[in-house]
Amino acid sequence: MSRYTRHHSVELNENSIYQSGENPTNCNTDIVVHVIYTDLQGTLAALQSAETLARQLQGRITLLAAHSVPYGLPITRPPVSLEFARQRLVDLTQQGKLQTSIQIYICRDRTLCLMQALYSKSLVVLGAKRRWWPTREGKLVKRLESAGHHIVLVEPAA
Amino acid sequence: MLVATTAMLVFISFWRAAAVVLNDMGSSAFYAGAIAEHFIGKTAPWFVLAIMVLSYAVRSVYIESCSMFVRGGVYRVVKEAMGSTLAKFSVSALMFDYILTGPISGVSAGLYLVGLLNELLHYAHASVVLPVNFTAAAFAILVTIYFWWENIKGLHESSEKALRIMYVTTVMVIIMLIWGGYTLSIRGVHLPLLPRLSTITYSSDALGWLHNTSLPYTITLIGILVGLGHSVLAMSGEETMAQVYREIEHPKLRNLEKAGFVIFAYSLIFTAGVAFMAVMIIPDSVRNNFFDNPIGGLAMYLVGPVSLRLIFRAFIVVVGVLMLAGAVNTAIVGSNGVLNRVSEDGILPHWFRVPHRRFGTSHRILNLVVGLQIITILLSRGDIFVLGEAYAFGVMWSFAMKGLAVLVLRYKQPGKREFRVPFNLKLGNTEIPIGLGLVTLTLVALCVINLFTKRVATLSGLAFTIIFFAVFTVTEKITKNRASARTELDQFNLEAGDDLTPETLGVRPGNILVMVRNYNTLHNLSAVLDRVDPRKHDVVALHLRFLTRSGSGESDLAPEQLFSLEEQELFTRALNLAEKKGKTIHLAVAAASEKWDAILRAAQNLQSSAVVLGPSPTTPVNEEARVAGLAWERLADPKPQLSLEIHSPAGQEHVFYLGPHAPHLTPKEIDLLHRVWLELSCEVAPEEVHHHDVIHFALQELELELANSNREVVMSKLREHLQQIKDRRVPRT
Repeated sequence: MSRYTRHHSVELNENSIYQSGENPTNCNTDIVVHVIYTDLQGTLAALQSAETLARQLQGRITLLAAHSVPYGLPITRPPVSLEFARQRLVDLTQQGKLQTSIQIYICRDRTLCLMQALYSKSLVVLGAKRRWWPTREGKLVKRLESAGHHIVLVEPAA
Repeated sequence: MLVATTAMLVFISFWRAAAVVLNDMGSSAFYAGAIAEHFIGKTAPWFVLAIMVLSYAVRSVYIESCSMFVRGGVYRVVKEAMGSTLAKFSVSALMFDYILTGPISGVSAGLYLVGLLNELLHYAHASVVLPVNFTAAAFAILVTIYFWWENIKGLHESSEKALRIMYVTTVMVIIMLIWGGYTLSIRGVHLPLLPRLSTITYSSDALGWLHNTSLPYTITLIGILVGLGHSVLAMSGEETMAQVYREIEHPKLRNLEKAGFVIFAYSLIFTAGVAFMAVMIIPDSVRNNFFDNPIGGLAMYLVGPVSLRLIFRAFIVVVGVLMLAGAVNTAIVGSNGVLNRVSEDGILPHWFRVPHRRFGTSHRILNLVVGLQIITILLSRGDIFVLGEAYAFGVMWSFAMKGLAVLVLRYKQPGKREFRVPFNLKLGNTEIPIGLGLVTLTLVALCVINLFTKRVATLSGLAFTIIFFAVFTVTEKITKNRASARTELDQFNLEAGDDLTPETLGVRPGNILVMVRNYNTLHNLSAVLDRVDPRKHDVVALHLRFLTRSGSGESDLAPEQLFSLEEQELFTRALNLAEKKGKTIHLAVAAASEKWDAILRAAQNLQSSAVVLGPSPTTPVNEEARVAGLAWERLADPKPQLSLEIHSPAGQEHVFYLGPHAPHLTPKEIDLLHRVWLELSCEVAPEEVHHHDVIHFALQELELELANSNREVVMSKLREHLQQIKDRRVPRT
C-alpha cells in the first residue's frame, strides 16, 4: 500500500516505544493485533482482549493512538502534551504481560490517519461502549470495516 | 542508529486550504453586513463590497509574508521586522481579536437561534417571547463552556467536519442566491444608494468622539473611512491563511494564490451578496428588526409560501449555528496556540503550560481565555453591536501591524522574494512599493479612524492590549534567563533503532537519500525537492554524526549524544525547506566512523535508488566518486544499483552510477553500434540480430581477449583510445 496520499491528513508523527514484556512463544511476528486508543477504560479492555487474541494467534500487539490537531495549532504542537500522551500509553500497556509496541500519530484527521496507519485487512481491537446514537468510535468502526479491516469491538465493564 | 521523526506533513490542496480559511472568514457574513448597516445606514453594502476588495489586497500582503516565512504568524513577522516590543503589541491585539471572536460568534449564533424560535412561537400564536439578547448571551456562554470542556479534554473534531460545514454552507449560499435572484426579478432590483456624504446616515453611536465635530459630514474621505471602519469585520478570519500556508501542497505559493482567489470570490459572493440582498429584499420598515440575524430575515422576505421560507430559515439557523459555534472553538484553539507560543518564547511564564493532570492539555491558558470570553459576553449582555465595535479593534490592528511589518521588511531584507505585492516602482537601486504602501496606509488609516469612532473598542481594546503587553514585558524580563536557545527550533521525537530500514522510517524502496551536513549548505536537498514527485519517490534526509576513535568504542549512544543542538538546527532548516516546497521529507541521524561506508550502508538498508550530497570542501568530485565506488565494492551482497549525485551550490550536478548499470551512450557511440549491427544483420540474415546482441557478443569477445595472450594488445589499444578522447577534450587555445 502506498504510504503517500494527496489527502490532507495521514501519518504525521510517530514515536514507537517498545515495552519490555513477555513474547509469546513461537511468536509469529507477521500477525499484529492492532489496538486503537479510544479512552482509558475502553483501551484497557481492548488491550486485555488483544492479549488473549495475540496469544492464540501467536502474534504481537501494537497500540495506535491518533491525536488530531486543529488547524489553529501547528502540527508539531498538539493540544495534548506528547510526553503526557506517551506516559499515559506506557502506563496502560504496562498492565499487560505481552510485548506491546506503541505508535502515536499526530494528524489533522484521526480517521484518515488511522486508515493510513493500518495495512490492508488488519486485525483491529477497539474498546468503546455501544450507544444507540452515532459516536466517534461507531463511525470509526464503520469506516475501518468498509476499508476491509477485521474489527473486534470490546465493551469495557461498566 | 537513531531515527528522529517529526511532523511528516502531508500537504493539502488549495481547495481544502480555502475551505479551512473560509470556515473562519465565512462566519462573519452572518453579522458583518448588518452591523455595518446599523452604524452607517443603507449604503453599508457598498462599504462591505469595498472591504472585500481590500481583503483581496490584504491577501497579497499575506502571500508576500508567507513567501518569506513559512511559519509566518503576526508575531514572527512583526518581530523580524520591527523588534520584540511591537511584536508583543501585535500579539496583544491579536489576543484581543481572538478573545472577541468567541463571544461575537457565540452571540450571533444565539441571535439566529432565538430569532427563529420567536418566529415559530409567533406562528404558533404563543404569547411567550424569548428575551433576544439574554437568550443569545446564555446560548453563547453554553457553547463557550462546551468547547472549553472539549479543549480541556483535548478532543478535536476532524478537519473533515469543517469541510462538510463548508459544503452545507455552499448549498445554503446557492439556494439564497437563486431564490433571492428570483425574488428580485419579480420585485425589481433597487440597488442601495451609492455612498456620498449626503447618503451616509450615521447612527447615534457610529461616530464616537467625532460625534460633536462636522468632519464626517463635510470631508468625504473621513466619511468613507468611518464607513469602511464599521465594515471591516467582513474580512476577519483572513489571517488563517498564514496558518494553512505551511500545509499547502507544491507549488506552494501558486497554490496559496489560488486559495486566496477562491477565498476572495467566495466571500465576495457570500458576505457582500448577503449585505446587498438584505437591503434590497427586506423592507426598510422592518429591516432593523433583523440586524441581529440578517440572513434569517432575508429568508422570511423571499417570495414563496411561508412554510418553505420557514424551512429555509431553519436551515440557515442550523448552518449558522454550526459555522459560528465552530468559530467559537477556533477562537479558543487560536488563543491557546498563540499563548503557548509566547510562553515557549519566554514572554509568558511556563506555569501556564503545565499540562492538565488528567488530560495533558494546557488547561491554565484555556481557563484564562475562556474566562475572558465569558466575562466579555456578560459585559456585552448579548449586544452584537457592542461586540462588533470592539472586535474591529483587534482585527484591524493585527492586519495593520502585519502590513507595516511586510513594508519594513522590503527595506530591511530587500532580497528576492517569490511574491511581491504588485505595483513597485524602481528608482535606481531604490524600490518604492506603491501597492504595499497603499494597502498598509489604508489599514493604518482605518485603525486610526476606528480609534476615534469606536469608543468601546478603543477603551476596551487599549486596556486589554496594555494589560497583556505589560504582562508579556514583565514576564519576559523574569523568564529571560531561563529561555533556552532551542525555543525557535522544532522539537523532534527521537526513536532509537538498531538499523535504518524503509519500515522504521516509513519510506518506500527506491527512495532518494539526501545527505545533510550543514544547515547553510542544503542546496542538494533543495535541488532534490524541486524535482522529486512525492507520489513516486520518498525523500530521506540523513545526517551522519561522526564518532571519534574513542567515541566509536561506545556501545550505545544516548539520543541526546547523537541529537545535539546542531542536529536540531539542521533538521529545523531542512523541514522549513521541505515545507516551503510543499513536499514531505523523512529525517534520520546516524552515527558513523567512515563516511562512505556509512552512506552506502544506509542507502543499501533503506533500498534507496539514489544518494545525493553536496561537494566535499577538501576532495574533488571525481575523487569522491572513486572512493564511493570502492566503498560500494565493500558492501555486502546483494549490492544495490545506485546513482550518486553531487550538487554544487552553483547548481552544477555530477551524476555517477555505482554498480552495474546501463551505460549512457553518446550519439556517436550509438551510431557506431548501429553501423556494426547493420553490417552484421546483413551477414547473418535471415537470422534475427538485435543491437543488444551485438553488445553482448562484443563484450564476450573482449572478455575472451582479456583472458588470453592478447591481453597486453587490448590494454594498449584501450590506453590509446582513452588518450585520444582526452586529447579531443583539451580546449583549443
